[in-house]
Amino acid sequence: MAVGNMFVVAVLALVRWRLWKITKQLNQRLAETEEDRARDEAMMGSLGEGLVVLDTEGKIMRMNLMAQSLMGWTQEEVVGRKWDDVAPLETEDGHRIGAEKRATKRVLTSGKAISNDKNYYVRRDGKKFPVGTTAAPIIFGDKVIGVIAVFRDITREKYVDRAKSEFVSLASHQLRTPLSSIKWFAEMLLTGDAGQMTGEQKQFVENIAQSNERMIELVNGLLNISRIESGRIIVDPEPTDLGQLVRELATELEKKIKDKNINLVISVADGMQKVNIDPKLIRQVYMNLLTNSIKYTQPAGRVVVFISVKGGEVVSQVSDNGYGIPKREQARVFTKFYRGENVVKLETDGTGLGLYLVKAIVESSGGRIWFESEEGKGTAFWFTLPLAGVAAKKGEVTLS
Amino acid sequence: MPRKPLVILVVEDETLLLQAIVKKLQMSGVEPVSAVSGRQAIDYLNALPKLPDGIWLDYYLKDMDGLEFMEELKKNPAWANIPVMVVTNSASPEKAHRMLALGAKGYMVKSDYRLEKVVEEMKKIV
Repeated sequence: MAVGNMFVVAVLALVRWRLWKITKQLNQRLAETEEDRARDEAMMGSLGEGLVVLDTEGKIMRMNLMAQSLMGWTQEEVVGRKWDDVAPLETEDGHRIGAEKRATKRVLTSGKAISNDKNYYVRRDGKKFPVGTTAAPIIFGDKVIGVIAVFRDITREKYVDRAKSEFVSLASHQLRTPLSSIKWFAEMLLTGDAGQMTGEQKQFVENIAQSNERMIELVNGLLNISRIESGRIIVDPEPTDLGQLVRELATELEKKIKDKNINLVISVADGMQKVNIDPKLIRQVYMNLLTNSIKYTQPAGRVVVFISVKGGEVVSQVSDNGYGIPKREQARVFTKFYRGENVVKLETDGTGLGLYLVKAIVESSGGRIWFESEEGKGTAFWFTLPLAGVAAKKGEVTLS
Repeated sequence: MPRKPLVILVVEDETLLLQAIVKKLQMSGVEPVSAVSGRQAIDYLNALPKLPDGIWLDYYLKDMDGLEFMEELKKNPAWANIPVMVVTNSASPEKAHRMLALGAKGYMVKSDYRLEKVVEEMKKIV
């Protein structure tokens, strides 16, 4: 009997010890979870950007410290209230943007993150600030359970953007004035308006004029780049016959083509329909690719333009059997001021800005661009444009 | 009787450019009248015995811009019909549209054209 009792006591002790151990582990887990939660809280709180979490009805669930300080509300005051009432969104000219049109609402249906940096938030005290936001749906399991948005005050970015625009205007006006003066006086000397020059004098003035033209090209190129980078470019699409656009360019480039005795072939796939793109922008793309091919191909070489449709895209190929791009330099082709090592000695003319601009135009038109090249054999560039066309954009500037 | 030469009022505040323009116009048989500011150009229009056949106008002048100058021209019905060619270094399409809407006959970016070409275009509009 005593043995039996002892056994029961031992089992009970063991059970108690197990229970004590489990409780200890649970407490420890709980403490860890609490600590993790506190750490997450601290991270969210210390985030340098405003962060707000909304439920599917647009009501505020959480707001971090930065968001509270940017908007002038405390979390306690606004939890449960509509984000649209707490943080009214306005356009630059002060028009209120309706809750339905806000990214925080739209992501619920789109299921994808939406970024925007065009609008203004109105603080509790009525002051406004330009805001950069990214809103994304919170997906749990396969259900959207709310929205998380980060935002920041972009006053400084706007200021830098304005400074850049001012520089553009400075460059266009101030730099072009002396360039025009050099251009026109050199022209008058060369046409003999100030009397005849000796052969060598004429040659020297021609050199000045040529360098000056290069400088004008550089200024124009830089202006175009800063315009396209600023996102202020006007996109004015119209149904365009791409084949015709290229043929017109070929006529414009006729002299260059003849001078080098280049065999230019333009081929457009049968039944190619008109595409709704901005012909002024896309013209620049073909123009740059074609002049590059002509410039960097030896006399009597061959340049081919081939336009076709694949999937939902128009694919344009511009290829040549020219000098090619050295393998080790191929990663830099689309960077500003890049010029091939093998061609700078052969062709002094060129700014290194063309392909950078081409890529920017293609991408801003919803397309992609890539190339293949082998030194001594030739280069082929491909770019796509959506067959459905591009959307119009109001903008402020065009390319020159 | 020899034909009277065309008279062009050139409004340009950059004296080097003005010198080039005046010389080129003379070389091509045009009689230039040069003004280095918008105000001076208006004074000339008031004082000249005969109005010029055309105006060569830089957009940015030190005392006014092209838009203001066009407004001044509009105030006097006799001036409103003088053909104006804007020759500028500001390539903004918005400015070009506004100037053309105000009645300018042409808009050229200086550094993009040979002087000869601008003179040729100027002669076409007068």
